[in-house]
Amino acid sequence: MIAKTVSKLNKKSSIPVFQSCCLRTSSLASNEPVANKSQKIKLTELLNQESQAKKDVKMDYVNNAEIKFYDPPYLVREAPFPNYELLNINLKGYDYSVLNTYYKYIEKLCNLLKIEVIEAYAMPSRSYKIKTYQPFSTNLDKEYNLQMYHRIVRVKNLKSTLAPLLFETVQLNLPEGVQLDIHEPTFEEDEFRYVPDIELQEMRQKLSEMTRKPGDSKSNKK
Amino acid sequence: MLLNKCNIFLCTNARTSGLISSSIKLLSTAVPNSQSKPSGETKLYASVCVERMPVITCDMNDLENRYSNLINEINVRRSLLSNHELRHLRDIERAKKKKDKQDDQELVIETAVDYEDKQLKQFKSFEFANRKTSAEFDKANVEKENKKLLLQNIDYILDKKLILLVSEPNSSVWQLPKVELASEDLSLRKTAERAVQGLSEKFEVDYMGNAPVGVFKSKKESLIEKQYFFKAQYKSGAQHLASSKFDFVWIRKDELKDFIKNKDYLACLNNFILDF
Repeated sequence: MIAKTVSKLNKKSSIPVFQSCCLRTSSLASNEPVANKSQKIKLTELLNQESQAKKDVKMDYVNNAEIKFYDPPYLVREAPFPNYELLNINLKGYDYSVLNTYYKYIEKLCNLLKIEVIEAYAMPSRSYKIKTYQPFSTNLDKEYNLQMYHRIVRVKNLKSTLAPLLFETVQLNLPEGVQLDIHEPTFEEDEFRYVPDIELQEMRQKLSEMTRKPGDSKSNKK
Repeated sequence: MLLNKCNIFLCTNARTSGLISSSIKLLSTAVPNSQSKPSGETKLYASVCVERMPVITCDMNDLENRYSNLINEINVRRSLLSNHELRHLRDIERAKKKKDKQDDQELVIETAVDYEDKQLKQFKSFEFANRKTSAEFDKANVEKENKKLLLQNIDYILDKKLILLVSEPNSSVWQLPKVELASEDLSLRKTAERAVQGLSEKFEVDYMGNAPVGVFKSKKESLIEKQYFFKAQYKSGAQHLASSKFDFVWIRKDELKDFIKNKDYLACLNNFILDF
């Protein structure tokens, strides 16, 4: 419900709100407090049985059919408090053992506070080669091979009154050398987890070339 | 008209800021039913808890120090030889061979020991900045009377979280900066932003979330006052805070009880101000 109203305000209205992978969630962006609160007042006035029934249309894209819910309308479907739908807590660091134990600590903390943790996973690490040169020359002075490790804790339906406290606990207990980043999950970030399918990419490229050819030939004639 | 608006704000704020769900231990009061009308006026305030995060990590206490030293020793003794140590062993072998052979070949190679000495020298010549910790501050200023003047400077203590407290001039009541809800504010968070901007225009602060973190309800005769607390982190601009309209201090959480006399208010603050 909340997501639906905020998506009306978002300009990316082409993305259906109930997307199956649920990554591009139009959740309460922290820069839109005004719109959220004023929209809430309108919502309470607009809530009829009809409009509620219309909003419950879900699509099953595999069979191309509508999934209908026959629940009675008095069953509360939404949470009674505003919440952040999906949040990614990103931890990055060069020191593996410290990062690992801190990430486990955050998971335990979320379980204690009864915050729903959907996933707590590791992203592939990025390796860096750092070379320092001797002054005024290109002779190698020192060479370092470092690896930046990355852990993500994904949290669902975080109460907005509890959120600032969680952010603060995580921030205050940060060990030295760990970087913290909390934001909503993006598609590109999630794609980075998976090994790219080379065959699929090649086929896609061929397809785009094929579809481009008739257009090119037309411009040549002109 | 004002009462109606108050009611609307109560209803929407009750629903939107999650005051209905009683499982939140952070909120110290329950919301009144929207059906029951208050006997007198209700005034809503929004206050902001501006905090300066610690800049340095705090020192370990005695137990932590001893344990970490012990673990480091164990790790070093159990580990395999590093490149530097292998190089040192090779140097020793080479020196032995030189003695036996007594060749005239004098290759000037930097030994591991030389390298170590050079690095140690560089380390000793580096000057570390002063770690302004709270323990040092306490030791130096135990007997000073005008401690308040010192506390106005945000840079004296670097290893603990500092909270901003504000009071009207010539009044001994300290509290978090607060402002009453006005009719032109579209949300409680706008009121909170106004509260901080009222202190000084150049005082920059980052708000952590849109929803309030705590509630404080007080009753004076027939006047009911409700304060909603927001959390914010200090970004920049503390130099511009000095003004004649109000008095301010930056204090740690332990010193809160010295400044705030109202027990209920203090209990409410303790719920959402965290200090590790």
